[in-house]
Amino acid sequence: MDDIISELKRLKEEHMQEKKDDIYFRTIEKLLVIERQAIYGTLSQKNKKIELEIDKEMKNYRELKNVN
Amino acid sequence: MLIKRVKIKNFRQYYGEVELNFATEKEKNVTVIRGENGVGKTAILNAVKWAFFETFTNNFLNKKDLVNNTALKQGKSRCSVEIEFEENEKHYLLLRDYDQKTRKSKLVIYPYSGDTLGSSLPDPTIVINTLLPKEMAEYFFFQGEGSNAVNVGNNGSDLAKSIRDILGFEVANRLITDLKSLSKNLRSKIAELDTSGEAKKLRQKLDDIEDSLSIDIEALSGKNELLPKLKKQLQDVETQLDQINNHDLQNLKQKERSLEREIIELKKNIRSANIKKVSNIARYGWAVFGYDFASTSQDFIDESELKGRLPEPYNETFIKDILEAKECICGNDLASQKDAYEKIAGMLSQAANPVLLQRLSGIRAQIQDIKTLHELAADNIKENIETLQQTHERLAVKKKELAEIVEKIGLIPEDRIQKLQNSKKKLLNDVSITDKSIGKLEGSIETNSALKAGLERKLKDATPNNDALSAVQLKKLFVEELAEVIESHLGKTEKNIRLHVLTEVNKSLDRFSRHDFKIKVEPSNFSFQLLDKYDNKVSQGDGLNLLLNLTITSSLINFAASRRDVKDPILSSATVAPLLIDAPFGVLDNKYRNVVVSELPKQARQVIFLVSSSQWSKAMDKEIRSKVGKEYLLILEETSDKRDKEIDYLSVKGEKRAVSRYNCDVDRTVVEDVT
Repeated sequence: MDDIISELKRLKEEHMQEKKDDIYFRTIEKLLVIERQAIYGTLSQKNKKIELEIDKEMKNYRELKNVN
Repeated sequence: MLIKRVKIKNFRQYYGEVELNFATEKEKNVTVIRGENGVGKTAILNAVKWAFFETFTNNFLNKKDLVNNTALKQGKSRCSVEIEFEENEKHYLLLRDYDQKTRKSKLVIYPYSGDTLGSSLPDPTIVINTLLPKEMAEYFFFQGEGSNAVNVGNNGSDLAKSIRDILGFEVANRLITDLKSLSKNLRSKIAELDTSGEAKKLRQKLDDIEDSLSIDIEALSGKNELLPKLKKQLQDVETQLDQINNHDLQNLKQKERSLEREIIELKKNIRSANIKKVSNIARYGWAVFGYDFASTSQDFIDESELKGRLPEPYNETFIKDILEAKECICGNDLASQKDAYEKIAGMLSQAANPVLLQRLSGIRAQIQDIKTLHELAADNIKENIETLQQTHERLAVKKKELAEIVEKIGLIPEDRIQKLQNSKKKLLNDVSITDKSIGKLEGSIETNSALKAGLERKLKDATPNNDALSAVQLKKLFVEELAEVIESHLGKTEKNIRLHVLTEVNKSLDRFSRHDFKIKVEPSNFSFQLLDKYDNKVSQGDGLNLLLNLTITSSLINFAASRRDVKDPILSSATVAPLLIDAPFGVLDNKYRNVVVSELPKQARQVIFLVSSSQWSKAMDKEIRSKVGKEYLLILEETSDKRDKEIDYLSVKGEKRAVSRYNCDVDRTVVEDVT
């Protein structure tokens, strides 16, 4: 029984880590696109767009933190 | 990055417009541009280098005189280079323009799709730097014949930065900066929303600590960047000092001082000998000069003595006795012969008396003295002359030795050694100070981070339950965590890069070099050092230097290739520029040439060789022919008569092609597509 609980705990932790990584890296990827657009293109209001992307992920982040 | 097309206008040998399309297909990725010396191969390399980075190869002289002379005479003061390139399936048009009158150049990059040009990019220099950093360009656009071959071991920190740049560290770092700035804004918002007294106080404290942390982290980052640079500088200074061999100088200086002391002593001896010479003259001069006179006098005295004339033949006592006895020694009575008596009496005035005898004896003694002194003078003067002569000879030898030592010292740049030693002292001090600062900052960051964590816990309890406030706080936490994730990812990647590049460099070295060499990468500054199988540093000549340059370039290409399939959420795949090499094989022997010409196109996505006939053999042509997608000849056109000048020919696919023309309209180089 202990083994099963420990395995479930490990799976849950793994799942949480993946979810966490997903949120962080997904957000970072989007933000890097904005940065690159600012460098290679003619993007205006970069900071505002960065904040908007972060706001879009806040729901998921809150969920992640609440679960924690 | 792939260069698709280069258009050169009124740049150096190229009058009007000249266009080159480069091979871009994977299977046929080599462009060969052939021309004899002075026709404009190096100008093509420099046109591309200048267009991207506004830099030139070392042997490209008069860097401000770029406009073609004929164009200048016609009143055209501008030249330009246009490069069409592709990066990550996006197309760009780069245009560098130069006005020789104002000596100013301008760079513009347009993205384009089909035939439509987009708006020019706001910061073209940053775009180029993230595609191919200037420092990295030295490994991709270079001249093989010594003058511009990268000196392995000196480009450490620059190369590390370049690798970081092409992986997109710059973009990621910009994002970190933006996230930190956003976090600061959110902090202000939190302060506005939080009206409770205790929480406000805690927040104020937290703000102060965060500010202090931020300053310390920035300072630490600066110091961490500075330290490897300082260590590299120190290493360079120590290497330079080793090369000069300071120990030799110290030995030579010691010998110089010892010889100077010996010379002073010898000169002193010469002065003493000269004084003795004068003293000999004073002491013996009269004896030397009087010797003949004394000898004559003695001969005269001896002869006179022999003849009885000296001393006077008549003794005073003897005459007085005769006069008293009044009888001559012949028996005649003098009393009766008055005349005879007076004659004898008259002899008294000349007769020898004791005083005269004493004088004569004195003269003899004097003559003897002169003779004795004369003999002494000969010995002393001879000894003096010998001493002088020997001392002069020794002095001449020592002076010669000193001159040789001084010449050797002259060859050693003493001022430079002093400067290098001062630099070394200063750098050692700077390294020590920076090390201490890093330790101090790390300690301070650790303390403040612990304080911050504690305050955040307290703040959580003290903060009133306010939804708006909680939301901003959560957002701030998210923003900070995002920045931390990026920072940690960059740190891990950098460690992996170093290991990867090192492995690649050693693999390439095995492929290119016949020697049992290996390369060590300094972890602190990413510089390369060539070592033999016993781990001793290897001195590099031009040929080996070029080979190493090609090795590193090849390794960077392989490294970039290995990143192609890595799914990195933060960093991009490494971009690699085309390999554009002027005189790539000049200093390599035939075996290396064949290896290099066949290996490079296998590794690089695009290769452009600028070669003269002396650098291109049938064997090399055969080796690479299947990979050649484009081939050009550079043809010299002269307005002058041919007269007795020879026409130059190059063989292209077995056909003889003339590459010099006379009686043309303009002096220039034209490009002929012979693909």
